[in-house]
Amino acid sequence: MRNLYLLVKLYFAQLIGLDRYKKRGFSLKSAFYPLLVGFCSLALAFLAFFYSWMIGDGLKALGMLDLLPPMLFASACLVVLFTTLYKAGGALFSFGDYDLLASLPVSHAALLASRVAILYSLNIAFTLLVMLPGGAAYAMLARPDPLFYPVYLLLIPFVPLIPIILAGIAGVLISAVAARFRFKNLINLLATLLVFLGTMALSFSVQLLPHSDSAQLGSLGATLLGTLNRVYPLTGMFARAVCRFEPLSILLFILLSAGAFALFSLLFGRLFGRIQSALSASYQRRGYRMGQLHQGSPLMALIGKEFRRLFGSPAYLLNSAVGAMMILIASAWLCFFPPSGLDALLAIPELRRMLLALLPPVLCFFLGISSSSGSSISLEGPYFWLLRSLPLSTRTIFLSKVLTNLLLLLPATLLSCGMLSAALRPDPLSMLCLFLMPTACCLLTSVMGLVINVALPKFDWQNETAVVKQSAAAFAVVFAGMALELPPIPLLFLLPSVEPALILLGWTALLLLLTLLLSLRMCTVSVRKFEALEP
Amino acid sequence: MLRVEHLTKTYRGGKRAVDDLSLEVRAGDIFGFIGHNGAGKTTAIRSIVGVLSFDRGEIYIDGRSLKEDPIGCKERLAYIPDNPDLYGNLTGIKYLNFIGDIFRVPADLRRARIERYAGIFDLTGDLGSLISSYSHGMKQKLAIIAALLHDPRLLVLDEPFVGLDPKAAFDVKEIMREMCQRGCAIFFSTHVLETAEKLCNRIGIIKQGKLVACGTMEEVRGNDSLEDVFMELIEHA
Repeated sequence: MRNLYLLVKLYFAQLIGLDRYKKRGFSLKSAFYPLLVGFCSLALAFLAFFYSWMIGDGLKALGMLDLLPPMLFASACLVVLFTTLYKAGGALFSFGDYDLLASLPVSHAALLASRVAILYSLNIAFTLLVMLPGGAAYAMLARPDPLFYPVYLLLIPFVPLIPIILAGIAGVLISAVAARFRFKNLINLLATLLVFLGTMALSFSVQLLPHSDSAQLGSLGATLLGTLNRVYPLTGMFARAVCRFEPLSILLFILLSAGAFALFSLLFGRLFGRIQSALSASYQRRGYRMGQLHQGSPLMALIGKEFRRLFGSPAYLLNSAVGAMMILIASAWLCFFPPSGLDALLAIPELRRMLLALLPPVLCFFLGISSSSGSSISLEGPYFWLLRSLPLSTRTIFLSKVLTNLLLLLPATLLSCGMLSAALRPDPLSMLCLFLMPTACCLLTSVMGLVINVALPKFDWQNETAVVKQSAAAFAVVFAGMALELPPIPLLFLLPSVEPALILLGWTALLLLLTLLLSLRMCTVSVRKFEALEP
Repeated sequence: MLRVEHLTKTYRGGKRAVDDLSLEVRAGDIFGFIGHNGAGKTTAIRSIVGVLSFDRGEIYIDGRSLKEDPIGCKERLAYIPDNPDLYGNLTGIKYLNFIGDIFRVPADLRRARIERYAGIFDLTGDLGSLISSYSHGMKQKLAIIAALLHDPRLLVLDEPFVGLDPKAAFDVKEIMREMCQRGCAIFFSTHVLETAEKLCNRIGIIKQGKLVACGTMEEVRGNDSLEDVFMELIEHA
């Protein structure tokens, strides 16, 4: 138990950089990361409360307010599952300091337990941020029996357990199978993507169940609960536990979650060494023969290196391209398999106007939440000596990283906009907004990510996930992206008399201006900062 | 080929790692940079190759100022760190081609050089494998091949023989000698006094960031062994 505590403490000390704070003392810069995490957490809690209140209010009007807790539960579980899926294999078994830790007198079970505890800590924080404000909104709207509060609070710690197990098993299986192939990262990436999209498609298809089910289940509320239960089978049990206080459901939910978690830890603890070996196995090809070598420019060489880095790390690629992939898939679905009621909806002028106006900022939201350039400097950590000792100007290095992000996002964006145009047949002005705003967003995200990462680099990482998902730059990129891409949506509702294209084009101009200003900063302040970095 | 004038580097926190260091490495020299752990060898080397910035002083590579023309300087030198972390997601050949592109080495020339040096270090068969699957010694050999790819005028190495097998260490020494005969210069740090004594024509001894002895092997050593001189300087200088 002491070893488990020490290992978890070591991880968080590295993640937060506790020793650095102690050594350098308090400063505004050193406090930036905790302040940013705190601010993002507060913003997430506020959003969870706001959306729960809005949905709850709607459900209350329909007499189905008791659906809110299971909806919160299902949402938290799905997000935990998705966000853990692509990092579980690496986070549980392939950590950079494994050799060092495995050589210490620490059992494999303690090592695995520490990794599970770390994954759990990160996920329970997110679960609390969603379920506590959401639960508060429910309590204010429903005024439930006092028993609700202890039961709800008792069950929250068990909520992320099963999603972590499912993601862990899937992640390990994928990584273990992929390790046997030459292109293990590509196989890993494709398999993760397949599971990711499969789960999305499954939940989506379940939500679109025909109304005949409602007749069997008796009411719309029951139908929706049944739908949620199909998305995640423990939802019904959770609903019966927190809304009806059924002792059997409470007990079963706790036993199932904790039991499955204990079983997972025990089983994988025993197999830890073998799984670790399988995952760290790499394909080696002896007998290479020299062939023709292709000569290229330094910039192209750097871009090629960036792309290999991107495709060599499933966590990095998924995090950088998930938004573009989602809009691409959604656009293709809308273009090639349009829903039956789409034409009827588009025939209503007001609805069509609003839909076409909302589309560009929604695309921007997905494009803006991630950026490969936002992690690209930090990921150079161990290789920084090489980049600095080569005859390359800092501007060329920056340009390669910005262009990599653009090459990753822009083709997918333009293709998506083309397919959406074919599906929705917008007027020329709306089409201009549809293409222009997401393009401006791609430019901004690429430059902004780099500027943020130069200002907030993290070089002392043991696992890429720590850079891609948990670093100050990653938080700042997501938050800045959301803050810059979302405002047109409320503006469209708040200014109904203003032509939507005017709002969108005005905001696009603002995004382009910001890109220009950030580009100037990148070429001056960021260059100086980068050249002064001493990892 | 390399002129260091009053180089001073202080880390955040106030530790002065290199203090007013001045030295010169001429064409044809194999210069051994000797010092105990933490003496400031790696900091000086990282400053010389442009990885670390420095507070005071000047560094000239082949007559060019590192401060004023860093890219021109880096085009003329090659650096091999003591523990080279190379891009693990690239295969050996892709890494070499990447370095070839950065230094704009013509394709036929880079192929000839890769064939030659990979042959010497017995690495040709492994060039198609990912660097992440390489052992420490293989990474070291790959870093050496990459460093030689653009035929640098100045080769800077930090503890080059750590991690190399005896044959590879011998080959590196032969390559170093051959380069010097062609008018290039070698500047390397080492703990192994015997290697320095056999290989170098000039040496510098650094203690707590200051150069306490510098000159030809004969000037520094006199009639004693290098080990005796080193111990005397480290304990009493």
